[in-house]
Amino acid sequence: MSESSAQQNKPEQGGPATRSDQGGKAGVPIVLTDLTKRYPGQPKAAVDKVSMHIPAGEIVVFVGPSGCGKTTTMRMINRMIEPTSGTIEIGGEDVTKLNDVHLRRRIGYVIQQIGLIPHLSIAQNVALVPKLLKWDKKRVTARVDEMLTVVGLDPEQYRHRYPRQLSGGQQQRVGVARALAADPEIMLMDEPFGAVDPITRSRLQDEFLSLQQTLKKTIVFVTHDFDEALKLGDRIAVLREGSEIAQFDTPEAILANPADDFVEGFIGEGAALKRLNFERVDSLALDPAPEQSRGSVDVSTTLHAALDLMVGKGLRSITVDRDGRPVGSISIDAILNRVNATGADAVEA
Amino acid sequence: MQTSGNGLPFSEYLSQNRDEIILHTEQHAQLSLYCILIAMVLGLLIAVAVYRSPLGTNFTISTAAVIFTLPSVALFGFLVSVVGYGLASVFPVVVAYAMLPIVRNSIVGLQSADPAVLDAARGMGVGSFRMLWQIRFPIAWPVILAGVRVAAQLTVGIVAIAAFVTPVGLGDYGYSSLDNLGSVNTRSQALICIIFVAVVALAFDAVFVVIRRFTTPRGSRV
Repeated sequence: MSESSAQQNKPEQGGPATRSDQGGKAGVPIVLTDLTKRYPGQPKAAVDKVSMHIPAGEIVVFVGPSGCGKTTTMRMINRMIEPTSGTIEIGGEDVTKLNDVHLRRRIGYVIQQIGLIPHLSIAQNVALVPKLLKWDKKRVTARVDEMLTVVGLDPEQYRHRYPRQLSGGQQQRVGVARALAADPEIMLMDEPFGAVDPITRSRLQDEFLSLQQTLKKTIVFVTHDFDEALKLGDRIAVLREGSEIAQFDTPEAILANPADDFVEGFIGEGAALKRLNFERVDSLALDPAPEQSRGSVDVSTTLHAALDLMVGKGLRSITVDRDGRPVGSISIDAILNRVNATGADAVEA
Repeated sequence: MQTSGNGLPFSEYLSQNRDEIILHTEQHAQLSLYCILIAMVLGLLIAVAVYRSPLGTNFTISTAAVIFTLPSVALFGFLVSVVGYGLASVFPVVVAYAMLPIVRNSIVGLQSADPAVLDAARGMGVGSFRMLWQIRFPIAWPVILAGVRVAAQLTVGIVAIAAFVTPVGLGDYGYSSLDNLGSVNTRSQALICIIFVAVVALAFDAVFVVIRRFTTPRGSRV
Protein backbone atom coordinates (compact mmCIF):
# COMPACT_ATOMS: atom_id res chain seq x y z
CA MET A 1 0.00 0.00 0.00
CA SER A 2 1.53 3.18 -1.22
CA GLU A 3 -0.26 5.34 1.32
CA SER A 4 1.94 3.97 4.04
CA SER A 5 4.64 6.17 2.64
CA ALA A 6 2.64 9.15 3.85
CA GLN A 7 4.65 8.97 7.04
CA GLN A 8 7.95 8.43 5.39
CA ASN A 9 8.69 12.07 5.10
CA LYS A 10 10.29 11.34 8.48
CA PRO A 11 14.01 11.21 8.86
CA GLU A 12 16.79 10.91 6.39
CA GLN A 13 18.77 7.92 7.56
CA GLY A 14 21.35 9.61 9.70
CA GLY A 15 24.71 8.04 10.30
CA PRO A 16 26.55 8.59 13.56
CA ALA A 17 27.92 11.90 12.39
CA THR A 18 24.59 13.36 11.33
CA ARG A 19 23.52 16.36 13.33
CA SER A 20 19.91 17.36 13.68
CA ASP A 21 18.66 20.95 13.54
CA GLN A 22 19.31 21.57 17.20
CA GLY A 23 22.94 20.68 16.86
CA GLY A 24 22.41 17.49 18.86
CA LYS A 25 23.37 14.01 17.83
CA ALA A 26 20.77 12.35 15.62
CA GLY A 27 19.98 8.68 15.99
CA VAL A 28 21.94 5.71 14.75
CA PRO A 29 20.45 2.38 13.73
CA ILE A 30 20.16 -0.51 16.17
CA VAL A 31 20.48 -4.05 14.88
CA LEU A 32 19.48 -7.01 17.00
CA THR A 33 20.65 -10.40 15.82
CA ASP A 34 19.33 -13.64 17.33
CA LEU A 35 19.02 -11.89 20.67
CA THR A 36 18.10 -14.41 23.35
CA LYS A 37 17.51 -14.30 27.07
CA ARG A 38 17.13 -17.50 28.99
CA TYR A 39 16.61 -17.58 32.75
CA PRO A 40 17.99 -20.57 34.59
CA GLY A 41 15.35 -23.09 35.59
CA GLN A 42 12.84 -21.92 33.03
CA PRO A 43 12.07 -24.20 30.11
CA LYS A 44 11.19 -21.42 27.66
CA ALA A 45 13.42 -18.52 26.71
CA ALA A 46 12.02 -15.16 27.85
CA VAL A 47 13.28 -13.70 24.61
CA ASP A 48 13.87 -16.18 21.83
CA LYS A 49 16.20 -15.31 18.95
CA VAL A 50 14.87 -11.89 18.10
CA SER A 51 16.37 -10.26 15.04
CA MET A 52 15.35 -6.75 14.14
CA HIS A 53 16.65 -3.70 12.35
CA ILE A 54 15.67 -0.46 14.03
CA PRO A 55 16.28 2.34 11.53
CA ALA A 56 18.10 5.50 12.58
CA GLY A 57 15.98 8.39 13.73
CA GLU A 58 12.74 6.40 14.00
CA ILE A 59 10.44 5.61 16.86
CA VAL A 60 9.99 1.86 16.98
CA VAL A 61 7.29 0.71 19.35
CA PHE A 62 7.37 -2.73 20.94
CA VAL A 63 3.80 -3.65 21.71
CA GLY A 64 2.47 -6.90 23.09
CA PRO A 65 0.69 -8.51 26.03
CA SER A 66 2.21 -8.48 29.52
CA GLY A 67 4.99 -10.96 29.91
CA CYS A 68 5.70 -11.26 26.19
CA GLY A 69 9.29 -10.14 26.74
CA LYS A 70 9.06 -6.66 25.22
CA THR A 71 10.61 -4.93 28.23
CA THR A 72 13.25 -7.66 28.53
CA THR A 73 14.16 -7.12 24.89
CA MET A 74 14.42 -3.38 25.41
CA ARG A 75 16.48 -3.74 28.57
CA MET A 76 18.98 -5.94 26.77
CA ILE A 77 19.80 -3.05 24.44
CA ASN A 78 21.46 -1.11 27.28
CA ARG A 79 22.46 -4.37 28.98
CA MET A 80 20.38 -3.79 32.09
CA ILE A 81 19.69 -7.43 31.34
CA GLU A 82 22.62 -9.36 29.93
CA PRO A 83 21.67 -11.32 26.81
CA THR A 84 22.26 -15.06 26.96
CA SER A 85 23.28 -15.01 23.32
CA GLY A 86 23.00 -12.92 20.19
CA THR A 87 24.39 -9.52 19.33
CA ILE A 88 23.31 -5.90 19.59
CA GLU A 89 24.84 -3.38 17.22
CA ILE A 90 24.36 0.31 17.84
CA GLY A 91 25.51 2.46 14.93
CA GLY A 92 27.44 -0.50 13.57
CA GLU A 93 29.29 -1.16 16.83
CA ASP A 94 28.76 -4.42 18.68
CA VAL A 95 27.95 -3.29 22.22
CA THR A 96 27.67 -6.69 23.87
CA LYS A 97 31.34 -6.58 24.83
CA LEU A 98 31.52 -2.95 25.96
CA ASN A 99 31.63 -1.87 29.61
CA ASP A 100 27.93 -1.84 30.48
CA VAL A 101 28.02 1.16 32.82
CA HIS A 102 29.77 3.33 30.23
CA LEU A 103 27.44 2.07 27.51
CA ARG A 104 24.38 3.20 29.49
CA ARG A 105 25.66 6.76 29.75
CA ARG A 106 25.32 6.93 25.96
CA ILE A 107 21.72 5.74 25.95
CA GLY A 108 18.70 7.69 27.15
CA TYR A 109 16.50 5.76 29.56
CA VAL A 110 12.98 6.64 30.66
CA ILE A 111 10.73 4.38 32.72
CA GLN A 112 7.09 4.53 33.73
CA GLN A 113 7.82 5.16 37.42
CA ILE A 114 10.19 7.95 36.34
CA GLY A 115 12.61 7.35 39.20
CA LEU A 116 13.80 10.89 39.84
CA ILE A 117 16.32 10.92 42.66
CA PRO A 118 14.39 12.36 45.61
CA HIS A 119 17.21 14.13 47.44
CA LEU A 120 18.52 15.89 44.34
CA SER A 121 17.02 19.06 42.89
CA ILE A 122 15.47 19.04 39.43
CA ALA A 123 18.63 20.63 38.02
CA GLN A 124 20.82 18.00 39.72
CA ASN A 125 18.63 15.22 38.39
CA VAL A 126 18.91 16.51 34.83
CA ALA A 127 22.66 17.00 35.28
CA LEU A 128 23.18 13.38 36.35
CA VAL A 129 24.62 11.88 33.16
CA PRO A 130 26.54 15.00 31.99
CA LYS A 131 28.26 14.96 35.40
CA LEU A 132 29.04 11.26 35.08
CA LEU A 133 30.59 12.11 31.73
CA LYS A 134 32.64 14.82 33.46
CA TRP A 135 31.34 17.77 31.48
CA ASP A 136 32.63 21.05 32.87
CA LYS A 137 30.34 22.97 35.20
CA LYS A 138 29.34 25.76 32.86
CA ARG A 139 28.39 23.36 30.13
CA VAL A 140 26.32 21.30 32.55
CA THR A 141 24.45 24.35 33.86
CA ALA A 142 23.72 25.61 30.36
CA ARG A 143 22.60 22.16 29.26
CA VAL A 144 20.26 21.75 32.23
CA ASP A 145 18.52 25.04 31.43
CA GLU A 146 18.32 24.13 27.76
CA MET A 147 16.80 20.72 28.49
CA LEU A 148 14.24 22.06 30.97
CA THR A 149 13.16 24.60 28.38
CA VAL A 150 12.93 21.90 25.70
CA VAL A 151 10.49 19.88 27.80
CA GLY A 152 8.44 22.94 28.63
CA LEU A 153 9.55 23.69 32.19
CA ASP A 154 10.79 27.18 32.99
CA PRO A 155 14.33 26.74 34.39
CA GLU A 156 14.00 29.79 36.63
CA GLN A 157 10.96 28.31 38.26
CA TYR A 158 11.87 24.62 38.44
CA ARG A 159 15.66 24.38 38.65
CA HIS A 160 15.81 24.41 42.43
CA ARG A 161 12.68 22.44 43.19
CA TYR A 162 12.66 18.84 44.34
CA PRO A 163 10.93 15.96 42.61
CA ARG A 164 8.15 15.53 45.16
CA GLN A 165 7.13 19.17 44.65
CA LEU A 166 6.18 18.40 41.03
CA SER A 167 3.08 16.76 39.56
CA GLY A 168 3.35 13.40 37.81
CA GLY A 169 3.28 15.00 34.38
CA GLN A 170 5.97 17.51 35.32
CA GLN A 171 8.09 14.75 36.83
CA GLN A 172 7.95 12.79 33.59
CA ARG A 173 8.99 15.91 31.68
CA VAL A 174 12.03 16.04 33.94
CA GLY A 175 12.52 12.32 33.28
CA VAL A 176 12.64 12.98 29.55
CA ALA A 177 14.92 16.02 30.02
CA ARG A 178 17.25 13.90 32.14
CA ALA A 179 17.37 11.14 29.52
CA LEU A 180 18.17 13.66 26.79
CA ALA A 181 20.67 15.69 28.79
CA ALA A 182 23.85 14.04 27.55
CA ASP A 183 22.53 14.06 23.97
CA PRO A 184 22.34 10.30 23.46
CA GLU A 185 21.92 8.86 19.99
CA ILE A 186 19.33 6.38 21.14
CA MET A 187 16.60 6.41 23.76
CA LEU A 188 14.86 3.54 25.49
CA MET A 189 11.43 4.34 26.86
CA ASP A 190 9.43 1.84 28.90
CA GLU A 191 5.79 2.95 29.05
CA PRO A 192 6.91 6.47 29.91
CA PHE A 193 3.43 7.96 29.77
CA GLY A 194 1.65 5.03 31.40
CA ALA A 195 1.21 6.48 34.87
CA VAL A 196 -0.28 9.90 34.11
CA ASP A 197 -3.90 10.86 33.53
CA PRO A 198 -5.26 10.56 29.96
CA ILE A 199 -5.27 14.30 29.25
CA THR A 200 -1.71 14.80 30.44
CA ARG A 201 -0.67 11.64 28.62
CA SER A 202 -2.07 12.88 25.33
CA ARG A 203 -0.33 16.23 25.75
CA LEU A 204 2.98 14.59 26.65
CA GLN A 205 2.67 12.33 23.61
CA ASP A 206 2.07 15.30 21.30
CA GLU A 207 5.00 17.23 22.75
CA PHE A 208 7.19 14.16 22.56
CA LEU A 209 6.36 13.75 18.87
CA SER A 210 7.15 17.34 18.01
CA LEU A 211 10.37 17.12 20.05
CA GLN A 212 11.37 14.03 18.10
CA GLN A 213 10.79 15.90 14.83
CA THR A 214 13.76 18.10 15.65
CA LEU A 215 15.87 15.64 17.65
CA LYS A 216 15.56 12.62 15.35
CA LYS A 217 16.83 10.18 17.95
CA THR A 218 16.48 6.47 17.45
CA ILE A 219 13.84 5.51 20.00
CA VAL A 220 12.74 2.13 21.25
CA PHE A 221 9.40 2.61 22.96
CA VAL A 222 7.64 -0.12 24.91
CA THR A 223 3.92 -0.03 25.58
CA HIS A 224 0.97 -2.38 25.88
CA ASP A 225 -1.40 0.28 24.56
CA PHE A 226 -1.89 -0.26 20.84
CA ASP A 227 -3.42 3.16 20.31
CA GLU A 228 -0.33 4.75 21.82
CA ALA A 229 1.78 2.61 19.48
CA LEU A 230 -0.27 3.84 16.49
CA LYS A 231 0.09 7.43 17.54
CA LEU A 232 3.81 7.45 18.27
CA GLY A 233 5.37 4.70 16.20
CA ASP A 234 7.09 5.16 12.87
CA ARG A 235 7.11 1.39 13.02
CA ILE A 236 5.44 -1.05 15.33
CA ALA A 237 6.73 -4.44 16.35
CA VAL A 238 3.83 -6.54 17.59
CA LEU A 239 5.37 -9.14 19.89
CA ARG A 240 3.98 -12.36 21.27
CA GLU A 241 5.37 -14.69 23.89
CA GLY A 242 9.13 -15.08 23.86
CA SER A 243 9.30 -11.68 22.18
CA GLU A 244 8.59 -13.40 18.87
CA ILE A 245 7.85 -10.78 16.24
CA ALA A 246 4.30 -11.31 15.02
CA GLN A 247 4.53 -8.31 12.71
CA PHE A 248 7.00 -5.47 12.24
CA ASP A 249 5.75 -2.74 9.98
CA THR A 250 4.41 0.79 9.77
CA PRO A 251 1.18 1.46 11.70
CA GLU A 252 -0.81 1.90 8.48
CA ALA A 253 0.43 -1.39 7.07
CA ILE A 254 -0.39 -3.24 10.28
CA LEU A 255 -3.88 -1.77 10.40
CA ALA A 256 -4.56 -2.46 6.75
CA ASN A 257 -2.95 -5.83 6.68
CA PRO A 258 -2.60 -7.59 10.04
CA ALA A 259 -0.34 -10.62 9.72
CA ASP A 260 -2.56 -12.99 11.67
CA ASP A 261 -5.34 -13.39 14.23
CA PHE A 262 -3.01 -12.45 17.08
CA VAL A 263 -2.18 -9.09 15.55
CA GLU A 264 -5.81 -8.57 14.60
CA GLY A 265 -6.82 -9.28 18.17
CA PHE A 266 -4.31 -6.78 19.40
CA ILE A 267 -5.50 -4.06 17.07
CA GLY A 268 -8.94 -4.52 18.52
CA GLU A 269 -12.08 -3.06 17.01
CA GLY A 270 -12.25 -0.16 14.63
CA ALA A 271 -9.18 -0.90 12.54
CA ALA A 272 -10.76 0.75 9.49
CA LEU A 273 -11.53 3.92 11.41
CA LYS A 274 -8.08 3.97 13.02
CA ARG A 275 -6.58 3.73 9.56
CA LEU A 276 -8.26 7.00 8.62
CA ASN A 277 -6.08 8.67 11.23
CA PHE A 278 -3.08 8.17 9.02
CA GLU A 279 -4.38 9.94 5.96
CA ARG A 280 -4.91 13.59 5.42
CA VAL A 281 -7.78 15.15 3.59
CA ASP A 282 -5.48 16.29 0.78
CA SER A 283 -4.47 12.70 0.05
CA LEU A 284 -7.84 12.39 -1.75
CA ALA A 285 -8.75 14.01 -5.04
CA LEU A 286 -10.90 16.95 -4.06
CA ASP A 287 -14.27 17.69 -5.58
CA PRO A 288 -14.99 21.29 -6.56
CA ALA A 289 -15.73 23.58 -3.68
CA PRO A 290 -19.45 24.05 -3.07
CA GLU A 291 -21.05 27.49 -3.23
CA GLN A 292 -22.32 27.26 0.27
CA SER A 293 -20.33 25.68 3.03
CA ARG A 294 -21.96 24.13 6.06
CA GLY A 295 -18.78 22.85 7.53
CA SER A 296 -15.12 22.96 6.64
CA VAL A 297 -11.83 21.35 7.49
CA ASP A 298 -8.22 22.27 6.76
CA VAL A 299 -6.29 20.24 4.18
CA SER A 300 -4.05 18.91 6.93
CA THR A 301 -6.97 17.37 8.84
CA THR A 302 -7.01 13.58 9.06
CA LEU A 303 -9.73 11.70 7.24
CA HIS A 304 -10.79 10.40 10.64
CA ALA A 305 -11.49 13.89 11.93
CA ALA A 306 -13.20 14.91 8.68
CA LEU A 307 -15.47 11.87 8.80
CA ASP A 308 -16.21 12.53 12.44
CA LEU A 309 -17.30 16.07 11.58
CA MET A 310 -19.51 14.87 8.75
CA VAL A 311 -21.15 12.22 10.91
CA GLY A 312 -21.60 14.74 13.69
CA LYS A 313 -23.18 17.37 11.48
CA GLY A 314 -25.07 14.92 9.30
CA LEU A 315 -23.33 16.12 6.13
CA ARG A 316 -22.61 14.05 3.01
CA SER A 317 -19.79 16.33 1.98
CA ILE A 318 -17.60 18.96 3.53
CA THR A 319 -15.59 21.95 2.33
CA VAL A 320 -11.82 21.74 2.39
CA ASP A 321 -9.86 24.89 3.20
CA ARG A 322 -6.26 25.77 2.69
CA ASP A 323 -5.02 28.76 4.68
CA GLY A 324 -8.65 29.51 5.51
CA ARG A 325 -9.83 29.66 1.89
CA PRO A 326 -11.94 26.90 0.32
CA VAL A 327 -10.06 24.87 -2.25
CA GLY A 328 -12.51 22.02 -2.79
CA SER A 329 -14.62 19.51 -0.96
CA ILE A 330 -14.68 15.84 -0.08
CA SER A 331 -17.65 13.56 0.16
CA ILE A 332 -18.41 10.78 2.57
CA ASP A 333 -18.43 8.41 -0.40
CA ALA A 334 -14.86 9.35 -1.30
CA ILE A 335 -13.76 8.44 2.21
CA LEU A 336 -15.69 5.17 2.13
CA ASN A 337 -14.12 4.33 -1.23
CA ARG A 338 -10.70 4.97 0.23
CA VAL A 339 -11.37 2.66 3.17
CA ASN A 340 -12.63 0.06 0.72
CA ALA A 341 -9.63 0.40 -1.55
CA THR A 342 -7.09 0.00 1.23
CA GLY A 343 -9.22 -2.73 2.79
CA ALA A 344 -9.23 -4.60 -0.51
CA ASP A 345 -5.47 -4.35 -0.51
CA ALA A 346 -5.48 -6.13 2.77
CA VAL A 347 -7.73 -8.92 1.55
CA GLU A 348 -5.65 -9.53 -1.55
CA ALA A 349 -2.42 -9.56 0.38
CA MET B 1 17.28 6.06 108.63
CA GLN B 2 17.82 9.79 108.71
CA THR B 3 21.13 9.81 106.93
CA SER B 4 20.92 12.78 104.66
CA GLY B 5 20.09 15.02 107.52
CA ASN B 6 23.55 14.48 108.89
CA GLY B 7 25.26 15.08 105.55
CA LEU B 8 25.54 18.23 103.53
CA PRO B 9 22.48 19.69 101.84
CA PHE B 10 22.44 18.80 98.11
CA SER B 11 23.24 22.32 96.93
CA GLU B 12 26.14 22.51 99.33
CA TYR B 13 27.46 19.12 98.19
CA LEU B 14 27.18 20.31 94.60
CA SER B 15 29.18 23.47 95.10
CA GLN B 16 31.84 21.73 97.20
CA ASN B 17 32.38 19.06 94.55
CA ARG B 18 31.90 21.33 91.57
CA ASP B 19 35.18 20.65 89.77
CA GLU B 20 34.98 16.92 90.29
CA ILE B 21 31.42 16.79 89.00
CA ILE B 22 32.34 18.78 85.91
CA LEU B 23 35.28 16.46 85.29
CA HIS B 24 33.11 13.37 85.61
CA THR B 25 30.45 14.87 83.36
CA GLU B 26 33.06 15.62 80.72
CA GLN B 27 34.48 12.13 81.02
CA HIS B 28 31.04 10.70 80.68
CA ALA B 29 30.23 12.72 77.57
CA GLN B 30 33.58 11.93 75.99
CA LEU B 31 33.41 8.23 76.66
CA SER B 32 29.86 8.16 75.28
CA LEU B 33 30.89 10.07 72.20
CA TYR B 34 33.76 7.72 71.39
CA CYS B 35 31.55 4.69 71.88
CA ILE B 36 28.85 6.16 69.61
CA LEU B 37 31.37 7.00 66.91
CA ILE B 38 32.91 3.54 67.02
CA ALA B 39 29.45 1.93 66.96
CA MET B 40 28.41 4.14 64.08
CA VAL B 41 31.41 3.29 61.92
CA LEU B 42 31.19 -0.41 62.74
CA GLY B 43 27.43 -0.49 62.33
CA LEU B 44 27.54 1.24 58.95
CA LEU B 45 30.29 -1.06 57.67
CA ILE B 46 28.34 -4.12 58.74
CA ALA B 47 25.14 -2.73 57.22
CA VAL B 48 26.87 -2.01 53.91
CA ALA B 49 28.28 -5.54 53.93
CA VAL B 50 24.95 -7.29 54.49
CA TYR B 51 22.06 -5.09 53.29
CA ARG B 52 21.79 -6.83 49.94
CA SER B 53 21.49 -10.33 51.36
CA PRO B 54 18.27 -11.27 53.18
CA LEU B 55 20.11 -14.01 55.04
CA GLY B 56 22.93 -11.70 56.14
CA THR B 57 20.42 -9.04 57.15
CA ASN B 58 18.41 -11.42 59.32
CA PHE B 59 21.50 -12.91 60.91
CA THR B 60 23.00 -9.51 61.71
CA ILE B 61 19.85 -7.99 63.19
CA SER B 62 19.07 -11.12 65.24
CA THR B 63 22.60 -11.24 66.60
CA ALA B 64 22.52 -7.58 67.54
CA ALA B 65 19.14 -8.11 69.18
CA VAL B 66 20.39 -11.05 71.23
CA ILE B 67 23.40 -9.06 72.44
CA PHE B 68 21.01 -6.29 73.34
CA THR B 69 19.08 -8.53 75.73
CA LEU B 70 22.16 -9.61 77.74
CA PRO B 71 22.42 -7.98 81.18
CA SER B 72 25.10 -5.31 80.95
CA VAL B 73 26.45 -5.81 84.45
CA ALA B 74 27.14 -9.45 83.68
CA LEU B 75 28.76 -8.53 80.39
CA PHE B 76 31.05 -6.05 82.12
CA GLY B 77 31.91 -8.71 84.67
CA PHE B 78 32.70 -11.18 81.93
CA LEU B 79 34.99 -8.75 80.14
CA VAL B 80 36.82 -7.89 83.32
CA SER B 81 37.55 -11.59 83.76
CA VAL B 82 39.09 -11.59 80.28
CA VAL B 83 40.90 -8.23 79.92
CA GLY B 84 40.86 -6.92 83.49
CA TYR B 85 39.60 -3.66 84.92
CA GLY B 86 39.85 -0.52 82.79
CA LEU B 87 38.57 1.10 79.64
CA ALA B 88 39.45 -1.99 77.58
CA SER B 89 36.52 -3.79 79.12
CA VAL B 90 34.21 -0.76 78.77
CA PHE B 91 34.34 -0.06 75.03
CA PRO B 92 33.40 -3.49 73.69
CA VAL B 93 30.33 -3.74 75.92
CA VAL B 94 29.01 -0.23 75.34
CA VAL B 95 29.62 -0.43 71.59
CA ALA B 96 27.90 -3.81 71.43
CA TYR B 97 24.77 -2.35 73.03
CA ALA B 98 24.75 0.63 70.69
CA MET B 99 24.95 -1.63 67.64
CA LEU B 100 21.35 -2.78 67.46
CA PRO B 101 19.64 0.53 66.64
CA ILE B 102 22.46 1.64 64.36
CA VAL B 103 22.80 -1.58 62.40
CA ARG B 104 19.07 -2.10 62.11
CA ASN B 105 18.33 1.43 60.95
CA SER B 106 21.27 1.48 58.55
CA ILE B 107 20.17 -1.76 56.91
CA VAL B 108 16.55 -0.64 56.67
CA GLY B 109 17.66 2.76 55.37
CA LEU B 110 19.96 1.36 52.70
CA GLN B 111 17.21 -0.99 51.57
CA SER B 112 14.59 1.74 51.51
CA ALA B 113 15.48 3.42 48.21
CA ASP B 114 12.62 3.19 45.71
CA PRO B 115 13.46 0.41 43.21
CA ALA B 116 12.40 2.76 40.38
CA VAL B 117 14.99 5.32 41.48
CA LEU B 118 17.68 2.64 41.51
CA ASP B 119 16.56 1.26 38.14
CA ALA B 120 16.54 4.68 36.50
CA ALA B 121 19.95 5.52 37.95
CA ARG B 122 21.43 2.21 36.84
CA GLY B 123 19.89 2.67 33.41
CA MET B 124 21.67 5.97 33.03
CA GLY B 125 25.06 4.55 33.87
CA VAL B 126 25.45 5.07 37.62
CA GLY B 127 27.92 2.40 38.76
CA SER B 128 27.53 0.32 41.91
CA PHE B 129 29.85 2.34 44.16
CA ARG B 130 28.22 5.63 43.17
CA MET B 131 24.82 4.01 43.60
CA LEU B 132 25.63 3.22 47.23
CA TRP B 133 27.40 6.44 48.08
CA GLN B 134 25.42 9.04 46.11
CA ILE B 135 21.98 7.50 45.96
CA ARG B 136 21.30 4.84 48.58
CA PHE B 137 23.26 6.52 51.37
CA PRO B 138 21.71 10.01 51.16
CA ILE B 139 18.25 8.44 50.98
CA ALA B 140 19.08 6.30 54.03
CA TRP B 141 20.72 9.10 56.00
CA PRO B 142 17.72 10.38 58.00
CA VAL B 143 16.90 6.81 59.04
CA ILE B 144 20.53 6.05 59.94
CA LEU B 145 20.70 9.24 61.96
CA ALA B 146 17.55 8.32 63.87
CA GLY B 147 19.19 5.01 64.77
CA VAL B 148 22.37 6.71 65.96
CA ARG B 149 20.26 9.06 68.05
CA VAL B 150 18.57 6.19 69.87
CA ALA B 151 21.97 4.52 70.26
CA ALA B 152 23.34 7.70 71.80
CA GLN B 153 20.67 7.71 74.52
CA LEU B 154 21.38 4.05 75.29
CA THR B 155 25.10 4.66 75.37
CA VAL B 156 24.90 7.53 77.83
CA GLY B 157 22.92 5.22 80.14
CA ILE B 158 25.21 2.23 79.81
CA VAL B 159 28.39 4.27 80.27
CA ALA B 160 27.03 5.05 83.72
CA ILE B 161 27.02 1.33 84.53
CA ALA B 162 30.59 1.04 83.25
CA ALA B 163 31.69 2.69 86.50
CA PHE B 164 31.58 -0.79 88.03
CA VAL B 165 34.60 -1.57 85.89
CA THR B 166 36.50 1.69 85.90
CA PRO B 167 35.98 4.86 87.95
CA VAL B 168 35.25 7.07 84.98
CA GLY B 169 32.17 9.16 84.29
CA LEU B 170 29.07 9.95 86.27
CA GLY B 171 28.42 6.30 87.04
CA ASP B 172 31.11 6.64 89.67
CA TYR B 173 28.67 8.65 91.81
CA GLY B 174 25.98 6.03 91.43
CA TYR B 175 28.45 3.31 92.24
CA SER B 176 29.77 4.98 95.36
CA SER B 177 26.27 5.84 96.54
CA LEU B 178 25.48 2.12 96.44
CA ASP B 179 28.85 1.23 97.90
CA ASN B 180 28.43 3.57 100.84
CA LEU B 181 24.75 2.87 101.28
CA GLY B 182 23.58 4.44 104.50
CA SER B 183 26.43 6.92 104.71
CA VAL B 184 25.80 10.65 104.89
CA ASN B 185 26.05 11.69 101.23
CA THR B 186 24.44 8.67 99.57
CA ARG B 187 21.42 10.56 98.36
CA SER B 188 23.38 13.51 96.98
CA GLN B 189 25.68 11.19 95.06
CA ALA B 190 22.77 9.24 93.59
CA LEU B 191 21.05 12.50 92.61
CA ILE B 192 24.17 13.79 90.89
CA CYS B 193 24.43 10.59 88.88
CA ILE B 194 20.77 10.75 87.86
CA ILE B 195 20.60 14.45 87.06
CA PHE B 196 23.85 14.80 85.19
CA VAL B 197 23.39 11.62 83.15
CA ALA B 198 20.06 13.10 82.06
CA VAL B 199 21.78 16.38 81.22
CA VAL B 200 24.37 14.62 79.08
CA ALA B 201 21.66 12.60 77.34
CA LEU B 202 19.62 15.72 76.59
CA ALA B 203 22.71 17.51 75.32
CA PHE B 204 23.43 14.66 72.91
CA ASP B 205 19.85 14.70 71.75
CA ALA B 206 20.02 18.43 71.09
CA VAL B 207 23.19 17.93 69.07
CA PHE B 208 21.40 15.33 66.96
CA VAL B 209 18.53 17.69 66.26
CA VAL B 210 21.05 20.19 64.93
CA ILE B 211 22.95 17.57 62.92
CA ARG B 212 19.73 16.35 61.37
CA ARG B 213 18.70 19.85 60.50
CA PHE B 214 21.93 20.55 58.66
CA THR B 215 22.66 17.22 57.03
CA THR B 216 19.26 16.15 55.73
CA PRO B 217 19.07 16.97 52.03
CA ARG B 218 16.28 19.44 51.36
CA GLY B 219 14.52 17.03 49.06
CA SER B 220 14.27 14.41 51.82
CA ARG B 221 12.80 16.71 54.43
CA VAL B 222 9.22 15.96 55.17
